[in-house]
Amino acid sequence: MADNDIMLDIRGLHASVGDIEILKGIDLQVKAGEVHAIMGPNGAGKSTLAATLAGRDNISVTQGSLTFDGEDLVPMTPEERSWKGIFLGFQYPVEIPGLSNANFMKAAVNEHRKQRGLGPVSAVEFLRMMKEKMALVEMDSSFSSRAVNAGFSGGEKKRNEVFQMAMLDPRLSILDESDSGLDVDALRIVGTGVDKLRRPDNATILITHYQRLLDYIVPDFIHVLYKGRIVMTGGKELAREIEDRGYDWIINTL
Amino acid sequence: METLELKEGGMKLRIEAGCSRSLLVMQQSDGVYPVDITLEQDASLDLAFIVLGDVRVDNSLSVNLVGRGATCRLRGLWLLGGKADVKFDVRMNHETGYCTSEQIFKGICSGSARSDFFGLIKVAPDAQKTDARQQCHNLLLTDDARANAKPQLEIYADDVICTHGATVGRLNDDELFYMRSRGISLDEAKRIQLTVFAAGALDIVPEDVSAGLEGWIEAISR
Repeated sequence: MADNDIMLDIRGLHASVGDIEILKGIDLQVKAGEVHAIMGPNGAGKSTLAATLAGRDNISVTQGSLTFDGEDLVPMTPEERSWKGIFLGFQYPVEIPGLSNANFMKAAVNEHRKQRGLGPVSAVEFLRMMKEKMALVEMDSSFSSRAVNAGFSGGEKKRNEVFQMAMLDPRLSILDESDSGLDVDALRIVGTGVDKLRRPDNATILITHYQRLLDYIVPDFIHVLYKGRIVMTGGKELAREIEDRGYDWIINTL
Repeated sequence: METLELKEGGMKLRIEAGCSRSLLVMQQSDGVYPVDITLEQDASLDLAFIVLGDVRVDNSLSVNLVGRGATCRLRGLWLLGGKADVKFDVRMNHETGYCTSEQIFKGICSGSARSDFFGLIKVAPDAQKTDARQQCHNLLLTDDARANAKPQLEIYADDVICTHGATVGRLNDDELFYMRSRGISLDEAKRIQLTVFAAGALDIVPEDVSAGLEGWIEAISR
């Protein structure tokens, strides 16, 4: 395996929130075209790992390295990481009353364009993009004028995350429990939406508790995170085993 | 919406029965401004204050709803920096029934600016079916900025709707991180948050006036 195939390279990563160390030595390599699922019991550090990748400022990396396309991510701001092609789908998407989805996405798309030396997106092109990506997650036309996540149901919020992912066309998406709190229809929409965005040149990390999302997006690898470390890595069949047997059989072998 | 120039030393306005006025007060220099406004039957008033910059302004405003069916929409927005010191003393007097008042105040303080808001809604014993609402929300952008908000209700009638809410807070880190994670720069994310916040007090103001505030918002967001 040549190192230049690796998109995301996490080595010996330790990270803390305040004085509390949450990640205690994570090693993970993600290549273009791959889907990795990260599973694990509550409190294992899954969401902290996602937030660390996105650059949340209350988390400090204390040891190890974190690179994306060979560049050190640690000193980068969240917006710089986004411009490089990293996207975080939030477990709890934030409500921004008073800001419409359309204006939110226009600001985001235009900043991405600015970084690539392009002018603002034209009104016609933006409308076309919105329409196409809204169709992907089955959002109706009223969605674009509604305030960002304000008053959205749980399912609508998660669909909005996938919509934003589609608008920004990231190279690496980290989806933090995009399947939690969804009914079967919303799960299907989120699952098939993410699966349709899969390409040989992008990669996805799915953080999930359940096998069911992985029926839609079949992962290449499943990692089990426990107490801040990856304690087991397997293929897609591992999810089924965890669903049947829980985590105890893994934890008990440690 | 017409522009109203306030006079130091006091000003009285009377909106006659059935008439409606829409007034904008822009304040960018120091002064003490007592204002007394009376609304007669079915009169309606939209009144917006916009206070900008490094100023010392002392506004005391009485709105007297003396005729049935009078309606007042009152707005205030202050975007302050430097050593600004702005006082708003608002008395909304519902003297008779079936009147409506709605107040929305939004303040942003940076630098070592301070604002003091005092808002009294007084409902007279005869003023049944009053609908009176008041909101005052403040954002502090620096450690040295200060905002006080004191709402007060004095209600002597029993069949009324009266609400008030007051907050003093800071920029919302979760919102900022969410926007930044989508590639919106920190400065732009702050600007968006302040614009959205201020917009709540600008609903009765023409679009060109609110658009004219963008530079002010940008200036205090940095």
